Amino acid sequence: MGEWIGNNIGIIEMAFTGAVVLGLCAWQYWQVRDAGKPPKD
Amino acid sequence: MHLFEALVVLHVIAGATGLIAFWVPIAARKGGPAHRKWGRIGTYAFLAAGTLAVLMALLSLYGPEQRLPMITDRVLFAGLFGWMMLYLGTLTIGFAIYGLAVVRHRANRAALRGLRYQVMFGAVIASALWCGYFGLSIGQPLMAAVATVGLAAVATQQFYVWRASPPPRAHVPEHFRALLGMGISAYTAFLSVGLIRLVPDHVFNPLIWAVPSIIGIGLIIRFTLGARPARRGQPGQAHKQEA
Repeated sequence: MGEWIGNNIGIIEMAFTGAVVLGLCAWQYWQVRDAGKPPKD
Repeated sequence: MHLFEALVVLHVIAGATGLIAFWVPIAARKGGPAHRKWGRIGTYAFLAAGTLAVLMALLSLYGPEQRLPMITDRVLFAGLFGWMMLYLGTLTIGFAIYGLAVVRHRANRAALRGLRYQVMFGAVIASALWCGYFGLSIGQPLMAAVATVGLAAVATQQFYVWRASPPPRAHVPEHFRALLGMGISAYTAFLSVGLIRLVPDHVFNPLIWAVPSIIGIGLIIRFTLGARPARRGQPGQAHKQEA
């Protein structure tokens, strides 16, 4: 298991980075979308 | 011309050179003359652009208050155009230096444990931690999330530098992961800060921010899988990859 992680650490790092970046973009999308909506009563 | 404007002009010139030269080593035969020549040009150009970004960030933090006086939220300004820019510039410099160093010292990884490279790693870690802390303290979790990307990159780089016995040719994925990461950083800055001036309505368009990462990470994963040692009995692609 440890060896597998060591040999694939680059892929793991890229998966993490991709998740963070896409998560941020999704968060930004919802922020902008919700900002244009009228407030709920 | 004010100092800040002069830095911007130099930053644009260096950045544009890097953005163009960046694609030649990706398309050219790996290890060939064009790959090495244009790879060096692109990397040195991004090194210059990153250094200028750090200087501009320091001017934003410690320069005269009259720069962009229309911005009233000076704390947020210091966060985004000061500390986060300082961190991203440092990260770009770190990627560039490490990406070239793993090839230069591929036969002697111990050189990467020397003071010069460890100070560089330390600078990236310190700027990322401060960017994240500052972001959380002013209610900007985005800054903390961006900081984790740099911390993860340094962690994997240090893992390669210090691990006891990496597989043969492990420097190859390290090389293109660092330099493609440098390109992602530069293209994200170009699209979100430079090109966006032409289409300011799209400043918060998440696609603008996501495209460099999607393309860059896709290329990194493709090259990483392609650079793996071949299984027994199969002709491998690893021999084609020469950094």
